[in-house]
Amino acid sequence: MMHNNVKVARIEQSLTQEQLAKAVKVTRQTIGLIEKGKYNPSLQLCMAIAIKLDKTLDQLFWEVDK
Amino acid sequence: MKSWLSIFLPDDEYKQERVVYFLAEGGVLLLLYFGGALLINELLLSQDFAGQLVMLIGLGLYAVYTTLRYSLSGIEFADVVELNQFKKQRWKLFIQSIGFFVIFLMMSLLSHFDNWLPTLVLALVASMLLFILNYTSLKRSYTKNKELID
Repeated sequence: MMHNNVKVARIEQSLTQEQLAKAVKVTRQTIGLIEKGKYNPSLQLCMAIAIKLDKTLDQLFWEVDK
Repeated sequence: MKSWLSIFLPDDEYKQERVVYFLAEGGVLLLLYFGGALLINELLLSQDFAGQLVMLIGLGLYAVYTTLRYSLSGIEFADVVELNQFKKQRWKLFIQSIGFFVIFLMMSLLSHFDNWLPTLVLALVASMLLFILNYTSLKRSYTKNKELID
C-alpha cells in the first residue's frame, strides 16, 4: 500500500473528492482509491492532482520516515 | 493489480502494460473471428451444428467472463455514494429492464408470433437476469464507494 498526502492537501484546499475528481477528469472512486493507497496513479494523473492542489509531487507522494 | 493473468506478465511495468493490451486485442480479434466464422458457417457452408456450438461456447465464455468481472468489480457506478443516488440509479435500472423486456418481446414476436408463450417467458427471464446483473454491479459499486468516501 502506498502512503500519500492527497487527502490532507485536498482538505486544505477545501475541495471534496467529487470536485477534485472533476478537475482532474477521473471518477470520485479513483480519487478515493488513490487517497487510501489502493491505486497507483500514472505520473500524468499525479501531476494533474498536484497542480490542482497547488503542491509539488514531493509534497503529495514522497514517503518520509517519521 | 491482482489478477491470475499476472503469472503470464513480465515484471517490468511498461512491458506489462503493453502485453495486457496485446492480450486484450488478441481477445477481441478472437471474438471477431468466432463471430465471422459463425456467420459464414450459417450462411454459406454446411451449417454444421457441432462447429457452431463450439464457436458459440467460445463467444459466450468471453462475453460472460468479461461482463461478470466488470459487474462484480464494483467499478461501473463509480460516482454512486449517497443512498438517494443509489435508489435513483436502482429505479433507472428497473426502467431499463422493462424497456429491454418490451423491445426483446416485440422483436421476438415479429419472428415467432405463433409461439408466444415461450417467447414471453424467455423475455421475462432475460430482463430479470439483466436487472439482477446490473443491480449486483450497482450494489458492489455503492459498497466500494462508501468505503472510499472522504
